[in-house]
Amino acid sequence: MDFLELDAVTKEYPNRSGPPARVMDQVSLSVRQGEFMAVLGPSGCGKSTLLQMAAGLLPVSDGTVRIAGRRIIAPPPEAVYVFQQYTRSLLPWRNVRDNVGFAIEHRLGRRRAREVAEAQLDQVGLEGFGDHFPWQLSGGMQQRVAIARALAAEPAMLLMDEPFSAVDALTRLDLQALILEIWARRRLTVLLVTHDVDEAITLADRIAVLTRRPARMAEMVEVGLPRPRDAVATREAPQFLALRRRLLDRLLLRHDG
Amino acid sequence: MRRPVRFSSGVVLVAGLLALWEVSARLDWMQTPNWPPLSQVLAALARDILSGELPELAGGTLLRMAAGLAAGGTAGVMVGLLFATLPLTARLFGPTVELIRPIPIPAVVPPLVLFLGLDDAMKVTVVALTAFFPVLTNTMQGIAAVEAETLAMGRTFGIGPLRRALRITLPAALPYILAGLRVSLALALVVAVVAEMIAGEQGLGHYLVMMQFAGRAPEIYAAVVALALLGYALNRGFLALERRAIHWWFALGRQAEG
Repeated sequence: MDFLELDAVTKEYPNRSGPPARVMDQVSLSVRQGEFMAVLGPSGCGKSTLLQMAAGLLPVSDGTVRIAGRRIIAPPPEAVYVFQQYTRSLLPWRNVRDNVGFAIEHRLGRRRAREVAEAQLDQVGLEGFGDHFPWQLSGGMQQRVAIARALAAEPAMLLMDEPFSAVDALTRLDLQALILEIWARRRLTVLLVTHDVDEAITLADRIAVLTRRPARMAEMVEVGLPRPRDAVATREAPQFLALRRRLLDRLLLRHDG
Repeated sequence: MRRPVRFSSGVVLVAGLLALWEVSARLDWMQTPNWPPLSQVLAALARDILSGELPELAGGTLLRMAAGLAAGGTAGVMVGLLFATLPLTARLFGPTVELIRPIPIPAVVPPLVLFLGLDDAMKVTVVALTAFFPVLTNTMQGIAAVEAETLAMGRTFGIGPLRRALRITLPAALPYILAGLRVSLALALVVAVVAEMIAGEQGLGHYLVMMQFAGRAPEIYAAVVALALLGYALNRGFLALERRAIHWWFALGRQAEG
């Protein structure tokens, strides 16, 4: 069953002189329930725009977005957006516990939200850090807080915008392993935007490849690597290497797609 | 081993100036009875404090100042929030605000006296008007500086606009708001005293004018010294509160520097 459906989604921005600038052109894709899909494309091709429209954070110019069969015009309760810049999405005046609780305290009240927050912090390996402030933690730990906050809302789907691009390479592997584990345990549906080919292959069931601006669907790639995967070992599989070569060639435009 | 210097050179300069005051008055360098020695001023200050007269006057001045500051500050934050969240209101009321802002506040005292009389209502209003503008400007600046991602984060969790304003925008803008409030605080004391000097029979401002008419120089200077100490203490107290209220802001600043 398709959980998220984008149907001929187009995005244009008004242009003072001349016709509107089209950044996305008729992109259609469907993410099945429980599927992990990566969106891969060159920098600046509008991947984040796509994700924001899927999250109901940005209106589409044309086409439709559906989540669980409902047309999306505002952020739906089923899907939570995880931002690239954790320093901007975490609230520096709240400690880690209350940052996580922020996702739910408007629904459950502050006391219950704190209990949930503590449990979520345990799940992302941050037990005992509830009293710290975000700016006292490393970048990787801050992104863990953001992930714990997203999970606290108990979404069916995570929309992740290059969530690991702002941390160092080792921390990135660590966080990829974490997200693989959480995805499997919670049977989440994930749409993850990245420009990191290795990350896309390691994590995703399918990879939607976008063209340069205006972004169109270039290709839908079935990864086909066995699960459970390992953020490190999976990268040594011949299938991984072949797919990596193919995707890099396409993104670098070494041969025409 | 050298002992660490306890007093900074700035404090030494203050002590030197105070000593110069005492000596210049004792030796009558100014050749005027209106330049009493510091010791006489301090004696007058002690007398007026112990008699309870000065504390009562200062208390009244401070109370009116605080009321005006609270009213004007709150209004500044609320109007700033309104202007920032509903751009239509900024377009509608912005020009009016910009026309009122440059009016020298003492100039509105006479017309306000006609409507509100000589006492508390007039003075609190004058202080509130003074406090309003710096807080308004800074609130709008602070709101403009809130990151789009931070607000989008609130939306993705289904948090409504009012709660987003109160729980994201307002705390994020608080460092700016407090900076505006600190400017307002300094202005508020000035304006409270000026209003008392112009109209009515209240507070330290009126006392200053009375002592001037009576030609009692030590009492005049005692009141000035009292005002200087009050202003200094208010600013220090505010800075301490600010450090507590937005400790995260200072922590982030230190991080960015180092």
